[in-house]
Amino acid sequence: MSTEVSCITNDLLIALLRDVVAENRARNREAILQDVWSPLTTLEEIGFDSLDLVELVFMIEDRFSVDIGFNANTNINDVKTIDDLRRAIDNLLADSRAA
Amino acid sequence: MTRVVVSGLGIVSPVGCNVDTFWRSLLAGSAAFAEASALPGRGLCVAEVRDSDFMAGLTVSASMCDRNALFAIAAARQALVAAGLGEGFPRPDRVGVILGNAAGGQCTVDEQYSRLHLLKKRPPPMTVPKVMVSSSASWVSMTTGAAGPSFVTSSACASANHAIGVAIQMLRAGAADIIIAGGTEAPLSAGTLLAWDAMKIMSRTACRPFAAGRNGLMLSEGAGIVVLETQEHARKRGVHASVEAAGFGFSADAGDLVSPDAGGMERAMALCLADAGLGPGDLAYVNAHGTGTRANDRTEVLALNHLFAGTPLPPLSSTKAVTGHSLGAAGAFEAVATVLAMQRSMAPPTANFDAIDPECDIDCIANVGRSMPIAVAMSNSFAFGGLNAALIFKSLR
Repeated sequence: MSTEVSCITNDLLIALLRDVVAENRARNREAILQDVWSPLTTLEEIGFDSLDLVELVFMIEDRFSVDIGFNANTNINDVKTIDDLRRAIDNLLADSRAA
Repeated sequence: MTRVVVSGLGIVSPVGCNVDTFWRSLLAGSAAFAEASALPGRGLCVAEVRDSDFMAGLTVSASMCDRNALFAIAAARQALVAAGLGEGFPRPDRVGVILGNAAGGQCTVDEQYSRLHLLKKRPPPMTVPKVMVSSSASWVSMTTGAAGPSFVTSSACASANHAIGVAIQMLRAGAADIIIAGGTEAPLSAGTLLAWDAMKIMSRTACRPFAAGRNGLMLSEGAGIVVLETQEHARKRGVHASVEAAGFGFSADAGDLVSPDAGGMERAMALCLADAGLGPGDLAYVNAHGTGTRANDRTEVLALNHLFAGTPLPPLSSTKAVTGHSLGAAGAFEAVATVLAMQRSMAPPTANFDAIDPECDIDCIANVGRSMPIAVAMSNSFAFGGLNAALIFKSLR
């Protein structure tokens, strides 16, 4: 069942990121899941790559029945921390709502 | 070493179903992108081949074979006529067919799954022979009479370059005298398009490789064929080819399933140069893989710059801005474009180019073709899954 989402909190994003990593355990990322992640944790530290980002966006779109105007060719792949990513996704959500 | 020459070209593409129309479109930057007919109303733009442009004269119907095989049959027929082999082969057992194809009969899969799940109708008997990835090679063999070594290579977007490279190797090894090589793809089914869209790398506006305003790739379909032949065999037929298929280089990134790796790309190009007995400084033109995605374009430029180790890169362009990305046929489209460029002393441009991506330090031939002699050219294909294949063509003039 989908849930309305107006903005992404850091706690929600961290939970979603953990889901993405957990679904890709085959990539030897068990150890990453044992760590505590904060908004200042970098995506590099958790081994989060461009494919994970697409998986994350797809997961958000499916779970919350929203359409995120995301294009992997933009500089969204340059964001450094989990908090940076939260803001970038929030901006895309706002753009999609305005469209 | 046995030399391999290009004795004929054939093309079925959204921007031309003969080499002259195809070439004019490349020079004019005339793309043919429009909303995908399989998915109306979703804003997904692709380049489709018009049936009326290639079906005339085909004796095989769409009920017998998938669209990708129809493309291959039509392109092979053109190429054989151009090679002076339209009337058959003196030794059919010495003629092979090696084609690249990434995904098999996707249009047939989509059609039959729809019948199965929506109409509750079982698939008809021809489904399996239409869907199998190797069917295009079989159909070209059956329709031309080529009875030598024949198969399909499948390495995603590098499939056609692998096919042409393997064909060069087999001709050098004496396994055949002639090989009908190239690639074919018909991926524009609803299911395949939605799967590509899920990766969030498709442009909805225009394909702009290496440009600051790029926002992704655009899919297309078609087939390209190069008739490859040992130089000795061609001469005996009285054919004096103008271009040699002089080198190939393959490598694997052994890394990531989707992220490209500059090291793997560079190794394929370096192996290709070594195979041709050439150095980077010999290259006059590079037809880049240049998909128009940020990841591909920047990594390809990084690999080229490392290969050239500080010396200036040759002029480079991506013809995908016009042709779109035809996946398993892409390397074949680009082999045809590269051979035409050498024969016509004109490097085709990268169309839709606004301004250079600051991260791409290259001499990109922007929007207007560049008149220049091209003695040696390289054509790159770098696939998802890190499978890389580069080809080198050399002028014999």
